Amino acid sequence: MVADIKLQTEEPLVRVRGLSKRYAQGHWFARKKYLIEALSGVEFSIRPRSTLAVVGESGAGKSTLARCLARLEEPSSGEIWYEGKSLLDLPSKDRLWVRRQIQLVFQDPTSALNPRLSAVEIVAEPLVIHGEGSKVDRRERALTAMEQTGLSPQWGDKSPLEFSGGQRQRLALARALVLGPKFLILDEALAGLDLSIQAQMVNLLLDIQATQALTYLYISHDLALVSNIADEVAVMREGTIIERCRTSELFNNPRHLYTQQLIASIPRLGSHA
Amino acid sequence: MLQVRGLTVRYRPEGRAEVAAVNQVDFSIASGEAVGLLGESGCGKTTLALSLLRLLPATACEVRGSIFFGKTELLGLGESELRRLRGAKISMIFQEPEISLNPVMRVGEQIAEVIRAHHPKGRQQCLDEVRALLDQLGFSDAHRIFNAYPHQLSGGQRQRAVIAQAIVCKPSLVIADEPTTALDPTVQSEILALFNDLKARFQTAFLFISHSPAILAKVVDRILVMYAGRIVEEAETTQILRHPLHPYTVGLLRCVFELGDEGAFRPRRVLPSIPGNPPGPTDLIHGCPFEPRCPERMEDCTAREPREVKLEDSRGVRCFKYGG
Amino acid sequence: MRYFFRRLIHTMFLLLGVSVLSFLFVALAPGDYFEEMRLNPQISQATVAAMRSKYGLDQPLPKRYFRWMQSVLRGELGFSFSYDTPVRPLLVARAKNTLLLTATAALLSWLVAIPLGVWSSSRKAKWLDRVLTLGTTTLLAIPDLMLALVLLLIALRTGWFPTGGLHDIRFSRLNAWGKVEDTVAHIFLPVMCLVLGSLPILFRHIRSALVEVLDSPFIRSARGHGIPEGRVLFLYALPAAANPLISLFGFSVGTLLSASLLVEVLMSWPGIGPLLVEAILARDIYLVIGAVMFSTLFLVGGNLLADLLLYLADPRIRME
Repeated sequence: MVADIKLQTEEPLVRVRGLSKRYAQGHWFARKKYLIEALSGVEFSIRPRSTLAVVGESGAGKSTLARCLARLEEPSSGEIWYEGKSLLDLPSKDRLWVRRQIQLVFQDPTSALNPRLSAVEIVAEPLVIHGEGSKVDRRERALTAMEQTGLSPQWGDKSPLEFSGGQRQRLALARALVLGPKFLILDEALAGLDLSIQAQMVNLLLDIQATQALTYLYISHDLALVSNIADEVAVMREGTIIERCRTSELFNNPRHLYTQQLIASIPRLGSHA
Repeated sequence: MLQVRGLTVRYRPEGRAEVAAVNQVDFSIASGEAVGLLGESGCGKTTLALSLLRLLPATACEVRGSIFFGKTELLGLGESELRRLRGAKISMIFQEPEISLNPVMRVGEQIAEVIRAHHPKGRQQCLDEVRALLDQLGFSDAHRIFNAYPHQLSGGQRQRAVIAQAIVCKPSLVIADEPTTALDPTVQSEILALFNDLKARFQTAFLFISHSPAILAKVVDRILVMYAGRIVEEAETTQILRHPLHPYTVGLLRCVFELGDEGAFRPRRVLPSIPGNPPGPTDLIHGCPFEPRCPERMEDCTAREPREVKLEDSRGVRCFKYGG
Repeated sequence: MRYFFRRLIHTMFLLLGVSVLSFLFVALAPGDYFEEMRLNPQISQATVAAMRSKYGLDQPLPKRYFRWMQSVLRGELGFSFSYDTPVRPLLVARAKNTLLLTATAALLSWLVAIPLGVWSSSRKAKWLDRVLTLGTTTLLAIPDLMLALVLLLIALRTGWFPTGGLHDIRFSRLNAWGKVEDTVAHIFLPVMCLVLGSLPILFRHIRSALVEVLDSPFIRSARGHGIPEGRVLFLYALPAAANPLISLFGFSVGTLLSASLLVEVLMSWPGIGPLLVEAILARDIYLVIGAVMFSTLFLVGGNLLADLLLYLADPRIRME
C-alpha cells in the first residue's frame, strides 16, 4: 500500500513522450529506401525509486528504447525528460552530469568486460573516465561497489574471466553503481543466467534499489522474471506499448490478447505440482 | 535401449590440471521414452550429451565407463562407424538454432544432406522426402522454408529446420540440448508442443537437456537432476515435481515462477534462490559437492560423498538425508 | 546490377586519379627523353628544342595532361618516343602476355592452395599440418628474386626448360598441339616462380579461415548428423569461409601482377614488365604512364571479379 501512495504522489524521475525512432533500410546504393519504425509514439513515466519493466519479444524495439534513453542513439522524434530537464537538448555542461546519473547494464557482460584488466580496475574505470579521485581513492570506491553487489573484495585482483556468469553480471552492476547513479537501465541484464542465479540477482537488485534509492528501467523478454522485480509493466509489440499497468494488475487481469498469450507461455510446473 | 554405466569424462584445458566434467554417471533410456536432464549451467549436461555422440572436443582427454546403445558399445566404435550412427540412429539438436545451420546452403538442401549421408538415394528423392517432412512439421509455408537460407528465417522457423534435420532419418534417440532457451516465449511453447507431437508420432526416445524444471515438466516422463558432474536425483516427472528429495532439486523447483493460489498473482519481495554458485571445474570438492550451498547440511556431508540410494518406483537420490 | 554500375563509375575515377598521379610523378623526375641527345655534340641544341616542342614537352604540365587525355580518347594512349608509334598497340601486344602469365599463375596457385589449406586445417596440429606450415614459412622467407634466380639456375643446369622468351624460334612451323606444348614449356618457369611466391600467403589465409570456420557450431552439428568429413570440409566449411578468401583473391591478383612484372624482367618474358623498365630508363614518359594505367586496369579488374564472385557465392549479400 505504501508503494501505491508513492506511485501516485511523486513527480516522475523519467518521462518519455511520443518517442519514435525510424531506420532507413536498404543498401546504400538502393534507390528505394524503406523506413523501419523501431519505436513509434512510446510514452511512459517512471516514479523515483520504482521499477518499470518493458517486456516484449525480439524485434519489439526494446533495445532501441534502452539505447535512446541512455543517449547512445538519437530518437527521430519525441521527448525524454529526466528530473524535469529535457535530455534531447541539454546544455553541454549538464551532459556529463546526466552520464553519471543514468547507467546502462547489458546482457552477457563477458564481451563488455576487458579481460586485460582486473576486476577492481574494471569497476573503477568509469571513475577514471570522469576523472574522479586519486588512484587509492578510486580503488577504495570500486571495492565498496563490489561489496555492495556481493563480490568479495578479495577477488578484486582476479581477471573477469575467472568469474562465473552470475559473478560477471555482479561485476557489471558494480561498475554501473560506482558513480552513484540514480537511474539504471537494465537491458536483458539477467537473461541467459540460471534460474537460481537469476533469483539471487533479483534479490540483490531489489536490495540495492531500497538502500540507494535507485530507479530501474528493466527491459526483458521474460515475463516471469519481470513479475518479481517491477512495480509497473509495459508490454511492447512492434515498436509501441500496447498495455501498461501495475504488475499485479497485469497478471491478474491482462487486457490485451497478446499479453494473455505472453502470460500463458511462461513455463510453469502447472498440473504436476 | 541406451545404457550408460560409470561414465566419467575428464578435460585437460591447455596448461591446466585435469578436471572431471562428468563423474561416474549411470542411467538408461528405454525406447520411446522422454528423459529430462536438469541442472544449472556448468554442471556437465552438455558434456554428457556430447559424449553420447562421441563429439567431445579434443581437450577431453579421458572417457571411461560404458555406453551401450542396444548391443553396441559406443565407446569402442571407430570414426567411420560413429559417422554412420550419428544422425541416423542417435541425433542431436544443439543449443542456439541461430548458428547451427550452414549459412550458405538452402535449408531444404541441408536437411537433404542428412538423408544422403546415410542412405544411397538420389538427390531428387532426398529433396522430395524433405518436402514431405516439412509439411508434417507444421510449417505454414513449407515451400518458402525449403528454398530459404537460414538468415531469411525467424528463430522459431530455424529451430524447426534444425529439428527436421535431427529427425529426418528417424533415429531411435534424439538428444536436444536447451532447444528452446534462445527462443521468444510464445515461440518456445510452440516448439515444446511440436516436441510432444513428434514424441507421439515417431516413437523416438528423447533426452532433453534444460536448466528449467518447468520446461522439462511439459515434455518428459522422467527427470535426471545433475549437479557438479553427478546425477544427484532421478525419478518420474510427476514424482519429482510433487515431492522432490534432494535439497538441490528442492531449490531448483522453488525458483520456478508460480501464479500462486487460484491463479492469482501476488508479488514476492524476496525470491527463493539457491545461495552461492555451482563449483567451477577447478574447485576442489570435499564430500558432497552441494554441501556449501545446501540449507540442510549435516556433519557427514563434508566427510565423504553420499552414495546413490535406490528408493521405491525406480527413484534414486544421492544425499545423506536418505541414507547415502 | 546497380552495384556494378556504381563500381564501374568508381573505377573510372580511380583510373583518372592514377593517371594524374603518374603524370605528376613522371614530370617530377628529372630529365626527359631528349636529355641524352643534348649531350651528343652531333645534334644541335636547336634540333633538340625543335623535337621537344614537336612532342609538346615544352608545354606546361596541365596542357600536356590535357593533350594526353585527348590522345587517350582517340584510343592512342599517348605517343612513344623510342618506338615512334602510339602507345596502345605496343601495350596491347605485351599486356596479352602479362595477362596470360598472371592468370595462369593465379589459377594454378589457388588450385594448389585450396586443397592444401583445407587438408591442413582438417588435420590441425598433426604432423602433416606442421610440415605444410613449416614449408610455407620457409617459402615465404625467400625473396621472389632469389626464387627466380634459383629456378633459372636449375633450368640452366638440367636443360629441362627454356630459360626465357615466349616461344621457340620454330614456333610458327609447329602444329596446334606443338604450339601448346611449346607455350607450356616456356611459361613453366615464370609461372612456377609466381606460384611458389604467392602460395605461402594464400595457403596461410585459407588455412586460418578454415580453422576458424571448423570451430563453429554449424560444423559441429553437421558432424553430429553424420555428414561425411569430405562434404563437411568442401560443402560446408569452404563456402562459409569463402568471403574473406574471395576478397583475398582480388588482392592476390594485384600482388601477382606486381610480382610478375619483376619475374618477366628476370626471365625475359615479353610482358609489360620489361617494356616498363625499358621505358623508364629511356624516360619514354607516355609509355611509362600507359603501362602503369594498364597495370591499374588489371588490378581493378581483379577486384571487380572478386566482387562478382562474392555476390554469387554469398546468399546474404545477394539478397540485400
